[in-house]
Amino acid sequence: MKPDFRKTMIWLHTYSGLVFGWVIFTIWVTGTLSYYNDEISQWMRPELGSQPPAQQVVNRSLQELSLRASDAKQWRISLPSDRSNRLRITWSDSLERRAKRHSVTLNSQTLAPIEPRETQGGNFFRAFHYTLELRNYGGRYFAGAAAMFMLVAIFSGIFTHRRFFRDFFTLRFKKTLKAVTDLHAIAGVITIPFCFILSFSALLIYISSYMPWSMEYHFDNGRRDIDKHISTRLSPVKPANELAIPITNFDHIEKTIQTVWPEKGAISRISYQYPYDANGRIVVTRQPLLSLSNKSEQLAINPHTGQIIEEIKPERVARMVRRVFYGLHEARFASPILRSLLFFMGLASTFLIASGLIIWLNKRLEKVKKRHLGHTIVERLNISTIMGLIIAIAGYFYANRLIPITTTDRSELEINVFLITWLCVAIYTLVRSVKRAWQELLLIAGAGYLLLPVLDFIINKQWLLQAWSNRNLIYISVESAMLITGMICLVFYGWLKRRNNHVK
Amino acid sequence: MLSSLLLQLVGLWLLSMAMNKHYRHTFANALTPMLERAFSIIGWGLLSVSFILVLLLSPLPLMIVYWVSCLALNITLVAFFNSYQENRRKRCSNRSLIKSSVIPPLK
Amino acid sequence: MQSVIIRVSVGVCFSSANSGSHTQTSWVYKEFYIFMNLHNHYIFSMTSRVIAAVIGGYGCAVASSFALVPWLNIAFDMQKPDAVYLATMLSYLFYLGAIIWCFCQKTALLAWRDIIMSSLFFSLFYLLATPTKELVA
Repeated sequence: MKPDFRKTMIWLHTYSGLVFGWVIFTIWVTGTLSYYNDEISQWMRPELGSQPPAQQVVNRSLQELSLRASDAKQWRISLPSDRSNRLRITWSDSLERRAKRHSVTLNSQTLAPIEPRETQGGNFFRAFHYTLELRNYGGRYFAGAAAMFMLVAIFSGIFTHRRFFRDFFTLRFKKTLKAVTDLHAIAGVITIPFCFILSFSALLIYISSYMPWSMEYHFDNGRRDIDKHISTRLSPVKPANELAIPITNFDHIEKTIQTVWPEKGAISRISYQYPYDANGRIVVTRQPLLSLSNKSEQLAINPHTGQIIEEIKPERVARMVRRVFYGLHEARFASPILRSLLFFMGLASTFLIASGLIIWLNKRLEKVKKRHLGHTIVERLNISTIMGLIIAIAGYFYANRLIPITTTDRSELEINVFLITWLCVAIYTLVRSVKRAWQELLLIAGAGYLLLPVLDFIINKQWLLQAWSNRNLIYISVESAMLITGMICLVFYGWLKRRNNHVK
Repeated sequence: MLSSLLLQLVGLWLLSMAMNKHYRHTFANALTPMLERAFSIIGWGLLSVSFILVLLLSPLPLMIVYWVSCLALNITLVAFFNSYQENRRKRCSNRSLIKSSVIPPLK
Repeated sequence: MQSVIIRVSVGVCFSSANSGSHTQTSWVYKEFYIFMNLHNHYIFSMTSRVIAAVIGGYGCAVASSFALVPWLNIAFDMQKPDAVYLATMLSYLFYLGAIIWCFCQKTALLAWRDIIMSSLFFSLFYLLATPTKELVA
């Protein structure tokens, strides 16, 4: 083969994008949705209500804990935050990570226990985008391979569109294919750092699965052992077996914490370790608003005097690199504005991937005289993945509202509805002709998303009305997002219909 | 912060104006080499100023993430603005062509 | 496209080199034969490169994750756990580099040569730099 660098890069870009393109698209869509993980979960658990949190949330939760869990070894309070209205108290019999836990969700104003419906909420999208609903670790390897292919596609894409500094400000809207190619180029250019960091951090997150060899060889217990040696952590607590009553009025401690963590809403979680023991301590975890690293900053406080005993030491360089990439990937630090910017870039990247697949197909169909099986496969896979995923997400939301609350294994059932909807769309695309399939699926998606808030209103008026009166922006913006998605789908449907009628 | 992002937008717009292709859609005359260099230098200068402004804020890594994300948004805005200008100029020129041409009589 | 150019050029060479004795059909046959071989050769070459990039590159990356450990240990005075961790993370860059490199070489054989040589180099470096199994922990 003639060694032409640009041609090689074009080949590499085409095929690395094509082979895993649909998996990459799925991962990016569900991943972009995960930016609003807590918000979607809140919409999917409407029983949590929209009331503002009570004044003395921590003190009253501590009261509840001392009533319910006086002999537990660990108490934990997860406080409601900007993103989530959920107040949850947990207690367990030991400090081990996998110990049995009892947890109760409380109404953040009245502190009465609520039973929100059993659902995985937005966390399903987050888990889906790295497990792909496969058993054990299979999905993570698949997603890792997809991340690697994405990195190669990004690099080769930069070389393919080498003239991007001259071209990327240009958008030609006359011919559709040229317009889509230009939009692909500009979406690619603006998301180069975003895509690179997300794919690279994805590979780094599961690095002990993808490149375990060096770690396994150098340590006796292999890669499970390495975390002990690299991360810094608070020193372990040893119970003294003497009875002592801890402070249950948290206000003073909160003031002490504010001297170290000055921002508002700094406390994300409060943990009482060995609450009724003389050597017990309070561990307070910080909300990750100011630091890129995904390491949770923790303070250890003496529960009897209210003084800060220990602060967790910062990580050393090696672990810090992964922490920062992990933090950039999850973007828990992002304020609402930054998160909407990141969401916009995520949408641009998913458009990048989808348009890449569509461009490949249309360019080949223009050039080739005889179609063969490959083109048909790509064509049908395109529709069933792109539209299938969009409709399946709507189906998941419908399932959340329509499945009765008392069903057993309700969260599993919601996920099954998601997957079955996708399968139905895939079968539908095999049956209909391509043009009709795109049009009708866009119509179904648009109508589906527009009817979701209506359905929500019909089922229980109170949720939306309370959200409106309490200014629960999270609930309102999730529903607005659904309306906007529905309208965009219908706009595309109208455009496609006019175009197809015009061509005919 | 906001000023830094506005500077970024203006800087990117100036950089795009340094290309003849976009210049002649927005302004009626052609791009001279002197103007091209001026736009290019000022554009890069404004971009660096906006980056330095962001470096002064804290916490630093978070601000850099903001800056890069806004860069993406601003590039999109400039690209759409330029193609709007191009379409407007094409429409204007079409209209002036129609006005100035003589309509042939029907046979 | 490349194969078309090669075919035309080979055809021209053939026709100019064998001026008199070959008939029209055998010239066409030879040209077609070479084209088919070249086309198969193209598929073989690309597949070989892909395997070199994906699998060979992974091997090269693993070898680099070993080799970087003593380098980080000695050059930056990093303790063993940190060095192992950082070396593994940096090996991803070597994987990416190997993939791009494989597709930049003139022939697939050269790509394989580079992959194998770099993996051997990394392994040798690791074995020589850590004579005993223990690093400075």
